[in-house]
Amino acid sequence: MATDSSSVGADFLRAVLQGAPPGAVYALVALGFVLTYQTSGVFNLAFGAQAYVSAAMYFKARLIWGWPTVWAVLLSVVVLAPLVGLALELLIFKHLRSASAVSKLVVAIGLAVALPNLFDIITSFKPASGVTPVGVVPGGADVFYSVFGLYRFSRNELVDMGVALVAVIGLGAVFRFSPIGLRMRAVVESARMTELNGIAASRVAAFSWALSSLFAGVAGVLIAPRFNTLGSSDFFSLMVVAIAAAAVGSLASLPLALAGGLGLGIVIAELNTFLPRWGTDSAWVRTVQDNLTPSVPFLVLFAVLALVPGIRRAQGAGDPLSGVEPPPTARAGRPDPRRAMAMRLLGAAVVAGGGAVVLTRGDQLWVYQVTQAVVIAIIFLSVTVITGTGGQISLCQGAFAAIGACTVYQLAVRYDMSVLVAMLLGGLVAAAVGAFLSLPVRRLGGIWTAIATLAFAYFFDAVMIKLSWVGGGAASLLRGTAVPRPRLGPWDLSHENTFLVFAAVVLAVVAAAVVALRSGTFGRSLIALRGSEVGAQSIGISAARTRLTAFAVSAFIAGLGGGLLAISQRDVNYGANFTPFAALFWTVLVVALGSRSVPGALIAAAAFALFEPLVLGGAVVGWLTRERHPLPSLFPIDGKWLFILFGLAAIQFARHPEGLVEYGLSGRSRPARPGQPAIGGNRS
Amino acid sequence: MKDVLRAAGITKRFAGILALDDVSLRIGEGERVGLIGPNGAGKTTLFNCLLGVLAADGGTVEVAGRDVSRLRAHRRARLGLGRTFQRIELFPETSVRDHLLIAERVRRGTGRLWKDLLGLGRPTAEETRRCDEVLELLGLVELADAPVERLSLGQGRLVEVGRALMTRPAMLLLDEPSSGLDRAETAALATTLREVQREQGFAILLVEHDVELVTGFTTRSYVLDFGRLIAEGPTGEVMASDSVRAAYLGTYAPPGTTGRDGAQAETVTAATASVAGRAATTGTATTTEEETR
Repeated sequence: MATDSSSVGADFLRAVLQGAPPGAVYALVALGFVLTYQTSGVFNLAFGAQAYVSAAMYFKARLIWGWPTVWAVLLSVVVLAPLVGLALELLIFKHLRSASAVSKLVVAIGLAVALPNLFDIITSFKPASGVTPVGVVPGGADVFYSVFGLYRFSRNELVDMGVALVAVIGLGAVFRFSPIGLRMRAVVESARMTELNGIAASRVAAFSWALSSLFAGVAGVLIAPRFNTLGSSDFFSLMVVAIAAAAVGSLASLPLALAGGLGLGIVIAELNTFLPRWGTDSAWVRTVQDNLTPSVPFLVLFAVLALVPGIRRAQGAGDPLSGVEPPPTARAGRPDPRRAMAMRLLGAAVVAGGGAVVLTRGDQLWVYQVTQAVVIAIIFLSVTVITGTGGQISLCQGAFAAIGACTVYQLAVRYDMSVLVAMLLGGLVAAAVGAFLSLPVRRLGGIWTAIATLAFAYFFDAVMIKLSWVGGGAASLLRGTAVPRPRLGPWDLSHENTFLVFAAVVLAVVAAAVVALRSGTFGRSLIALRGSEVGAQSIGISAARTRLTAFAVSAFIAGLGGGLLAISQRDVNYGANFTPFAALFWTVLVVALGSRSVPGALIAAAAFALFEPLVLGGAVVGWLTRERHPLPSLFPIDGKWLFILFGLAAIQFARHPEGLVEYGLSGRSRPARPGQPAIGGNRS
Repeated sequence: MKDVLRAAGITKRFAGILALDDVSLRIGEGERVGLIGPNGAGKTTLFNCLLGVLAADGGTVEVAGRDVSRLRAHRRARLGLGRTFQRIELFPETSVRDHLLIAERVRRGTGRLWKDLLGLGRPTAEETRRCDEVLELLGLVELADAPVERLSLGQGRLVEVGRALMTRPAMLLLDEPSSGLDRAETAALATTLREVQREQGFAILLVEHDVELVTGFTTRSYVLDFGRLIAEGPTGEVMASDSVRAAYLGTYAPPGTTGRDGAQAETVTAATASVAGRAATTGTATTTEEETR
């Protein structure tokens, strides 16, 4: 790039031009996201996954099958994308119209995990084929057009900006002037009310889903050339950035989403241009310079959520006819005591028997995998506290766990502290961060808590983990983030079997603590608050203080578990263990299987660590057939099924927030006695 | 008589609309007072300002002589303002007894996280005994362990009353307790409330549409209209006054003469949808004057 012009004005202008194309990309995704939110009322975190599906389809058709661009675009964008949207609406969201916003969000998170894997399996798509994605115009990345000698736009960049502009004008026109646009807005307001006026709400909703999904497809295909390889997590994080852009317009305005996206791109470019010009004498200035830019979107998102109350009311008004909906299925069916006791005994027997077998006869690999399950179970219990008991969706449990792991690493490496003491301290540090985070978040409630915690998780991922006093910084790149195994009195925990027993003891203590907390004042207050905030306030429960405690306790448990995970793996392994997208699956798994109870978390952890080797890998089948026959050629089944199965299982959260385990135990919820209207809140 | 609750000059604006205009009221120890007014008069807003659910734009609220104007809802609750809700606000997936137990625990203020962790957070014998007393008082003993999802609306209201009683309120604010109940259920609720009130001696502020309930239950009433107090005094006299009748019934215009109601049904924009929705749920849209408020 030409740097002959040194005047501030020219640099400023150049940064504007430079920031416009990535800004247009953010804007494209933001527009699509706002479109989904406005036409379906779903805070669709699966939007990134929908974009990924189209991008991957285009990649497959264009580069692997060698189709011409036009046909590849037709298949991936014009045909596939609306079909995906239609399928989501008809199979899933149509049946969840009266579910709470939080339930729909959880379903969307499950889909965000399941959809890309499902696509990969169906089309046997391999993201990393050594071929980089290409755009829709020939020579998109290689042909440039200079503007005033300041900046040279590539063809792809021009296409991005052009499409974003056309999209905002076209969508605005559809929304404002066409009958279908008016109907779409009406259906979001109240599907029932619209039906009373003689409009087929379900058809309008299907159309909006197809339209918004088409948009996801367009955005996906246009964005793909920005990545070296196609990965669904990249699309997810790009979507989070776009949500920040959309938040500028309160998630309601298409032009403001466009402006927000462009603004975000330009601000980042300006920061990149001008920040390095500050003096670099002191270390903290350098730290700010290095980290401000990547953190801008997440700071913006967090700030908008915490400081602009209007955004939370945008969809909070609710359906004026919601009163005519039947009340949510009462979870009146408490687990049948005898059946519950039997299941408990059975569970204890399985745990004891499995543990004994693994400890006495298991090889290194199995001991390791069971240890992972035990340690992950501790982290999952943090979800039991915040989501199961507190009713709040937190998507930053991975960051809390990473804080625990990094504390162990830092204290052990720098201060030569015992890793076990460091593990406890790690929990406390995470608790402090959790309490601090809850200050702006605690009054948000509902889906906004989820989004704010997601913003924090990405902030941690983009900035915090790279700091030398957190993740180790440059030093860790060379030396790794190794964590030693300790000795505890006579026991040497570097021995795998001993460590497994130790981890199981820690898990038992944490599980007992969670049970005790739930039946005490804190748990009862939290459950009251989950049921009805105003009701809880009316008897003197402080919502703010209780939520702060809940965040702190949950973060402590996650931090403790994260520390233990680092000790067990002898390394922090941030990238493999704790990234926001990876931690998203934790929430999906716990919520799907049972966030309300300790066994739910334990089974979720078992599913997380053992489902793949035991079931998909064919170990269970192998034991059953006992070497008489070789494993059926079906095995090993692709590990992606883990994400597909449990991602889709999260869909039932909308109907049964207690999760599959407890739902199974209760033997189907019995309906309220006939003739007696069931009551109770419909928030969960 | 000492005042349990005193409000002076309460003012509240919503985006330019004056919802409450300089409203003052006082309620003495053990008094039963009504608060009435047509839909949209500001009753619920006043209620919420007294309780701290909404922050008033002006004015002061005192509970037993203490200025609580700046305190949040839960602090006011601890100082003796108990309440029930028009749309019932129970805690799903818990039992009737659980509702009372947590209220008792919060009142005692003995809950600590470390006690919970050591398993000392479970209800004590003393707490359970007090909870049983209130359950008996309200006739809820048989339902004590029932999950609240199983209760009827009337029973749910009683649970709300019980939950509020556990906080030993100096004053109980009832937000349209008769809504959703039939006459017999309303009468039963009123009888129970009167008995409990006589025994425990707290004051009551009753926001209500059911004229019969207000006249039978309260000794004194305040009337709100357009956010202003238009009358106060002994309930019987207030009910008979012309201004109250005018406020409630308005100037009678037969439906359909203005054409406005009919036009609404065909429009599906957001704004009219919510207006029509309110009319549909309350079912009381009779005069155009009420509609346009």
